[in-house]
Amino acid sequence: MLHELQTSFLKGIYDASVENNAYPYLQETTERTAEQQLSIYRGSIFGGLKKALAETYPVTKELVGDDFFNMMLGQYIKTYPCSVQDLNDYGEELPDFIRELKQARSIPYLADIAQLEWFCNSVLNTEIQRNNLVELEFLNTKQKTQLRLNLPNGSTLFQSNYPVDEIWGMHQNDIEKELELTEELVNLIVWQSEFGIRIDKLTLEQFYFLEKLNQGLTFVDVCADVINRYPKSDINFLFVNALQYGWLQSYEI
Amino acid sequence: MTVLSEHHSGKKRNASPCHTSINGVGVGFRSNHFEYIEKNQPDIPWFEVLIDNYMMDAGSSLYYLEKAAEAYPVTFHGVGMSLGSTDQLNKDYLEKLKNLIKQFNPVYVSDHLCWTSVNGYHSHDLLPMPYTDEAIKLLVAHIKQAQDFLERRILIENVSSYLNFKDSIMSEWEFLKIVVEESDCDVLLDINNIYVSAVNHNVDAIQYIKNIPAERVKEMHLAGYTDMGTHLLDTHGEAVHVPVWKLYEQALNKFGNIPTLIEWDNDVPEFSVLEEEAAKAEVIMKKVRACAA
Repeated sequence: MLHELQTSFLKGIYDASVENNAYPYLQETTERTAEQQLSIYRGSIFGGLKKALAETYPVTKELVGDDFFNMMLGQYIKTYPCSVQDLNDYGEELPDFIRELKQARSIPYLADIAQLEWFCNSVLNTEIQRNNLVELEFLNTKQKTQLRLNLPNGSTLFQSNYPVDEIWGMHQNDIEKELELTEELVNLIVWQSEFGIRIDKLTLEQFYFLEKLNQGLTFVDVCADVINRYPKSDINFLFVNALQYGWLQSYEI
Repeated sequence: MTVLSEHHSGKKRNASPCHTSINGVGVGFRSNHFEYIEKNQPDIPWFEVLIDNYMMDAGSSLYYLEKAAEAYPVTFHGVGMSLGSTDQLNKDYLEKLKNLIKQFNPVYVSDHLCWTSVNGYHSHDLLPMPYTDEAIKLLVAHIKQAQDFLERRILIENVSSYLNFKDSIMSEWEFLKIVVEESDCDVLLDINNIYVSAVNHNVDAIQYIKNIPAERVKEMHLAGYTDMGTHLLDTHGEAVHVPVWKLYEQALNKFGNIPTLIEWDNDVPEFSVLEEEAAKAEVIMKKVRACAA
């Protein structure tokens, strides 16, 4: 009985129809109908989830304004009720939801901005691992052939047809300027250093190099793959450059 | 290259000092005040930590909690046990909670007389129970399980409510009393929640307080509600209202000088405002103590 009540109640929160399954469980009073009682909880639950999503997606919110953002989140929450215990993990599907949302098409880069914000949120909630790359010089020749290099824990490689890093940066610093949307491919890595989250722009070669490393290939195979795709590549430069920027975190044999 | 935000890295930490009791009026340990508290070490007897915000392995929050727990007694207050849910208890959540308890030695660990999730879906809100024998049986079993797992007694807090279930066969205070006695847990009595529910359901708040077993009450909460016109909403976004102060005085008369917390979670003001609210509660505590002497 209790299970049916709780199931109907939570289902009823996301269902505002007249034949709501939760109503039969509620005692109507002279002050409040069953619908009014449930709507108080609906407002509170939706309000809490919207607040959490607004903290995860502040630039998306700023780009569309409070009213549109609230309307969009209302639809999103009904489509994707929260199924995670930690509110920091709620909202992963919002970028794809925006991509499909007709009313959001006037801002073509909105879904990519939301995607970038989700990656920032995810990496922020990841523990920083110890960097063990100083031990690389002690590897013998056989070990070096088996070497696999890892990107920082929780980092994400991301490509967009819009300058989402610049749009994102302008909103962080309250800068207002005209941006030319050239639909030129932007390659990014979102990662976390000991000083905070970083969004770094990459060349195509850098992106490909890091992407292959991230797929778990050995360093030897990655080098061969990169040379095959970009014959003029300077592997030594790509490797040293990635080390210097901090895009490599650890190794394994 | 863009640096978005600075924070302290997660690292292995030592256990915090073991405080065994709290006294007087504490305030909530909220992120808005982390830096202020670390820098100024305000004269507050204890802090209550919303422990669900510290379940991640990383982030700056844990750093600030470590600093606070070194200097002050802390209590843990959670919203994630979902003790009244017909789902099984979340072992992963309890495991994380137990690890944090070992690390920070809170004086009390509390959660709510409610459910927050079912069938794997989470409301992230404190949903009311029907006051039935079936609900008592479930809550008692879950509280016992949680206490056994955590190897300590927990405190259960009454929540605000905005509806009545047709199935309820007793009052909230009767329900609470049976649950805490059968599960052998303690009570965190939220005075604001009693007042909010009493107004929303036309019941007597004084009667509620009179019927709670005094020996079980270990902590009290004070917060501000918002008057929505048709009902009172427990928002924790305003100063404590006059009727709640009056009810608090009645509660102190019955239960004695129970440690009390000023809760403020929305539109969190400057720390000094919380200190002023705490000072008001201290004045009432002193008045009640003087009358009793």
